Amino acid sequence: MKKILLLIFAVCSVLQAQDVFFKEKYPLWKDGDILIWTTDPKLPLKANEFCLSVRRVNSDIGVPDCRVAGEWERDSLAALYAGWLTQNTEAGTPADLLRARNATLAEKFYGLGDQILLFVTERNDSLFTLLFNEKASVPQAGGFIPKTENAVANGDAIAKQFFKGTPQRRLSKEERDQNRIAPDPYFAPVPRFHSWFGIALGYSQAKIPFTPDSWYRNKLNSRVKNYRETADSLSLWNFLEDDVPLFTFYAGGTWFGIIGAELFLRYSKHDVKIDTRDTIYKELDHWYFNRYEVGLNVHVMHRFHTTSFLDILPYAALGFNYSFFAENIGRKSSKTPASNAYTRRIELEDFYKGPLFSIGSHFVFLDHYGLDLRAGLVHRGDTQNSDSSVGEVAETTLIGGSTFDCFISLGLEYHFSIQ
Amino acid sequence: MHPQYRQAVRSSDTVALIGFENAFVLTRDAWFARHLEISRDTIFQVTEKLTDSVFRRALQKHFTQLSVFPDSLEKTFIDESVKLSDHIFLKIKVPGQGQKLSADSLSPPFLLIIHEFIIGTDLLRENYFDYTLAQQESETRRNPDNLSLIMTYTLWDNFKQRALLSSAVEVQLSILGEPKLDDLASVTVNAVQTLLRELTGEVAR
Repeated sequence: MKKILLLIFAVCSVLQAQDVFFKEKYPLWKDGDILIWTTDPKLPLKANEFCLSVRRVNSDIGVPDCRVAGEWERDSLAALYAGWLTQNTEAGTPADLLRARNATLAEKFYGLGDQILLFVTERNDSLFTLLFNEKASVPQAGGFIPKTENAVANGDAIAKQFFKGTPQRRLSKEERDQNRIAPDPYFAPVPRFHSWFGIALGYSQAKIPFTPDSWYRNKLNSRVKNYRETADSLSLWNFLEDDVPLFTFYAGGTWFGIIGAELFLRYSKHDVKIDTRDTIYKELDHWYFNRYEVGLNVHVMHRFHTTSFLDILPYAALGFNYSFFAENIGRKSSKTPASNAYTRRIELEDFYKGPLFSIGSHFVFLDHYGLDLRAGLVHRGDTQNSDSSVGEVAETTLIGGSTFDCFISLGLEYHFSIQ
Repeated sequence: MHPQYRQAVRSSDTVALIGFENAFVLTRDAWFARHLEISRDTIFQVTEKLTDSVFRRALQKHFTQLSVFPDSLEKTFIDESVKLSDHIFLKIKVPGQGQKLSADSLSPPFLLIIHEFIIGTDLLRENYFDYTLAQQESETRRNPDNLSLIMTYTLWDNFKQRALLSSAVEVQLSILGEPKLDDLASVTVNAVQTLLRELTGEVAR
């Protein structure tokens, strides 16, 4: 017990002694340059040993190059500032109070390029380290460690404080120049036309969430007797199974990042809800309808550039679609002729049409690879009159005259020219 | 105020005053000239000389080791802006980093740098330094109620080259009847007393 307490105490004291008192986000470069800058005559830290420490701490960092910042030590303005830092760096000092105020010296910091400048100074048996880069004349990170005489141990401790994390590939001079003049991603121009295609797997059902069951009970419980008899025939869901998987192929585009259109083809397979108690179906092998749909959506969307690799494009769409039902029926191989009811069974219209509304979002990774999540509400109806012979009154067909359903789907897509 | 300013400056410390002459501004000089019965050509010199000597003497009473550095040293100073609160900013001029300021082979541990020293009537410090209220002054022709003094200063740690305390002081002195040169002297003394209170008081809190 005593040993454990002692150990906890030791760990706590180490944590307390090794302290980073401020730290901004700064890039670590693979195979980067690290300059060690000091005014102390005898610093218990060696440049070449420090590189090995950095490599021990961060195995991804490649082969960094560590040097003494001789140019900074010789520069008289930098030397004045270094002397000032030696006096003013204390644990807990906010970064802004350690700013290099001289304008010429500030320029020198901006000229650091992709090098990391480590100012190290010894004070009261501690080694204080301030990390500078080209971003500002304010140190990006500051910390201290208890000083030991062992240069390797000191280097390890400092490397642990400042060189953990994922390093980035070091950019060439041309890339850096290009980065410097590249527009901020948040101000990037919107492409004139951005397009995509994708395939989606979804699920469709008649019951719309958050609506009462009583709206659907009669339709969903309805069964087809004697090949054509149902209590009601206004909705197709009196005859057909409604909860089925849905397959979609779609392609679309957006103009100027805001308004666009999308064409889609959808397929689903709906079994006929036969009443199995009816003995007439003993002859029946299978009976289902293939539903093919084609339609056009018009959408408005907005692009949110969240991180360097992810764009989120939520949208709302309004469209119309045509549904074609293709019947597929077969009797068991028997020698008896088909029943009268079989030959005079229900007949769906050639096509149904109706509006659809959907909302969703594209999640585009690395400018090209998208995931699409959407939910929608579809209506299909038929207001066409059936063909009538002379003398017969044209009568509105009621089978499937008003069919609602809703769907959700998840798509995989490829995007062109989102940037 | 600098977070490391924990030990207030003591009256036995050597303090150098710098920047008074550059900072001195007399507003409404015609009004002062008329009421003090001094020619407008010399009103500035007379009032400056008076306030300078009063200011110095009042400070010297507290800081016995006070010395005065020439304002020409300010040429090497660097402009800075200091945020006192969300919408109050001061523009100050303070020495650079890394070098002690010294004159006549004397480098005191503390510098008292005066940035602005404005004498006028019915002036409000907010109208000068609060950017939400700035540029709202309008000329009103009426008899002034108060003689005002607005002063901004910085206490500078000369050894570590950091600003310890910056502040804007406002002093009002009601003038009944005609203003006198003595009123100028007493408003200056009041300003010094406020300054000394801030230098010692804020740290004690």
